[in-house]
This record gives sequence, structure tokens and C-alpha cells, in this order.
Amino acid sequence: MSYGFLALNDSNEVLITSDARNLHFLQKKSSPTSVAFTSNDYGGMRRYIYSFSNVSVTPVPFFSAPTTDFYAISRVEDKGSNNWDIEVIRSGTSTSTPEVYLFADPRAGSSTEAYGMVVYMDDGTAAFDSRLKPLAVTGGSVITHPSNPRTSFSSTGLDAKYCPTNAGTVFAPTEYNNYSILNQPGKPIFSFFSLAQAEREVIVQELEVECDGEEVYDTCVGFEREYYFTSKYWAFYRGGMRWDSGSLRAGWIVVEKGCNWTYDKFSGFLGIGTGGDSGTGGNWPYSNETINLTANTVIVADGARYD
Amino acid sequence: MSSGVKMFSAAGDLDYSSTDATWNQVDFFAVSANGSVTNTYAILSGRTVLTLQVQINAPPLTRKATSHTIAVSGTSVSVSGGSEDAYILVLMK
Repeated sequence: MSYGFLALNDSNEVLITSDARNLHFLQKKSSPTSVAFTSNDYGGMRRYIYSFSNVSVTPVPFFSAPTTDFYAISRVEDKGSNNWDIEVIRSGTSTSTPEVYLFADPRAGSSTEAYGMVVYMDDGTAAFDSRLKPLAVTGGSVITHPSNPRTSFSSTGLDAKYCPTNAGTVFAPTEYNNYSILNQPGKPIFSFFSLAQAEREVIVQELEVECDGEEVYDTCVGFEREYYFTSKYWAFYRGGMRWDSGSLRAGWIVVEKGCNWTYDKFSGFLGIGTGGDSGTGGNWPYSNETINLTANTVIVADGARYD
Repeated sequence: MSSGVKMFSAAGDLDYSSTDATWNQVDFFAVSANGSVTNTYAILSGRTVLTLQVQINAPPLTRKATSHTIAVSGTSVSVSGGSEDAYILVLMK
């Protein structure tokens, strides 16, 4: 640049420049504003909403990971009038909730402190303000999710008749990719946005015969009805990340589940009639496919620095 | 450190120094569902670039939500192919 300000760090990376804006700490919420969904089945699933006010620019959220479950930010929504909702999803059954830290460019913040350094862009707005707790990154990694949430989906134990089985053990995710990030702070916070998705389903079928007459050599003599029961158990996953003392995992979180059942009835007396019925356990988004497996990024910072 | 800069608060706490590292925000823009955007940023020349994508609306549970493809080439960032409204965060260091 021919004018302005540029500061490089010890690794010759840009630290401050008048041509781009640093991210600065804005607000923190220690617990969710509301819990959108919770279930202890299928490995456990939680969906939290954190609502923030007085945020005048698009924020960049970070979250803490109080347990060794999988976490991710699934949406950042502008609610209007400087109000924003951040949605965080999590696996597991713990009642612990993550803290959410909002960072944004310095136009969103203000300080009355008399000491510090401010760098301005050529439009007169701040690019950097040392008084507003600028974001310092401690690490990060590019991660990719495994193509399958589990290595196998067994139908053993699943009942075909009217979806009666809790299929949690069939669909609870087990697969992940492992990454290592060394020398991280004692309270790391993460910026990670979920993109990967997967749907898996298991179909089980059963035939049931009712005979109103007598069975002679396995043949019904009289009125007979045959019921062909089918149940489709399914689970919908989104990508998450897990932190455990320097070990970072890219794995899966169940965000929706269900089962659909149908039956066909064939009845008659030495002849064939037809009938049937069906029931629903939610709409599955698509069938047996994993999408958005593109490389994704986790950014790590020191939460204690902003507490 | 033997050279560099340190910034302190009025209370004497270290706010920031050249031993820190960060990602600087170059842009944060929205791309609509099935839309495409290409932006050029001269400041990206010679820098390490990172892009992040986040969905704006509640993630659909009843259909596919295909993410946008983000391509960085030199100082150009191109986004396209996604089925959802999304924010794209362009960072550099």
C-alpha cells in the first residue's frame, strides 16, 4: 500500500491493516436464550438458540465446548433491528450448555477508554481498536467429515410393525476424523459452521397371516388375511466438531429422526382382495446420501481472554 | 519480544501485541439461494486467505441443503451452487 497502516506479527502475517478490519469481542452469552430441541436418543441431540441485541454488523460467533460432545454453529440469522439469533447444535445428553462469544468488526463496538490505539480505514471508520479486545487466534484446522456416520446400520432388533422400536443404537453416530492442534489455551473457543449433512435409513419388513378357518398342512381353509408390514427408520445428521485436550474430531450430530410405516393387506376366501394403510414419523429429507463433504475450517481462540 | 508493538489498556493490561496472530476480515457478504457472487479484493495479493460459510436460515430438516462452492483464485473470491441463503466470510492474514 502507498499510505495507511500495516503491522505484521512475528510470523510476518498481517496483524493490523488500514485496508481490512480486525474482529473484536462484542458480547458473550453464558447460556442459551432458548432450547429449540432436545432428545437423549440416538446419541443425544440438542439445538440451542442464543439471541443477541445491539449488533449492528454481521457477527462472527465462537462457542465453548464444556463437554467432549460434538458441537457446531448451524445458522446466523439477522432478526432485524440489530437483533441476531445464533443456533448451536450439540450431540450428547449432558445438561451443560456452551457459552457463545460474538466478534465483529469495530464499527459494532464503542469504548470510552482514553488509552489505546485506533487504526482507521480511508472512509474514516475504524479498522482496529485496541480498546475493544481484538480477536487473537490461537490455532485452527481444516477438517473433513467421514462419509458415513457409522460403518454399519443393522436392522437387528427393529420391529417392522408400526415403527415401535427406539432405533437409537442403530443410528447413534460413531465415525469421525481425528486432528491434532497443539499448545491451545485452557479455555479454547471455536468458530465452526456446520455444512456436512447425511441421511441414513433402515427398512425392515414382516409378513403376518391371519386365518379365520382351519390350517391344513400350512394352508388356510376359510377366510385369510395377509399383512405386509414395512417400517422405514431414519436419521438425519449434520457435521460437528469435538474437542478433547488437543484432539479435534470431525464427526456427526443427529438433528432429526423418525420412522414411517405402511402395510398392505391381502384378504379373501380362496381369492384376493386388497387394502392397506400407512403412518408417518416425519419426513426424511432424502435417502442414504452424504452431502457437503467439502473441507471446512475450525478457528480457535482463548475464551479466557474475553471473559 | 525484542521488536514489535504492544498495546496496553489504561489499567496496564496487555490488549494486543505483535506476538499475537489473527485473521483480518476482508468482507462478510450474503449470497442468496442458487445465486452466485464474484468479488475481487486487491488486499488478498500475497496473503493467506480463508473463507467461511454459514447458513442464514434455520437448516431445513425435510430436504437437502447444498452448500455453496467457494473458489479463491489470486485476489478473486467466487461463490456459487448452493441451495441456501448463506453468509460468506473472507479472512486473510
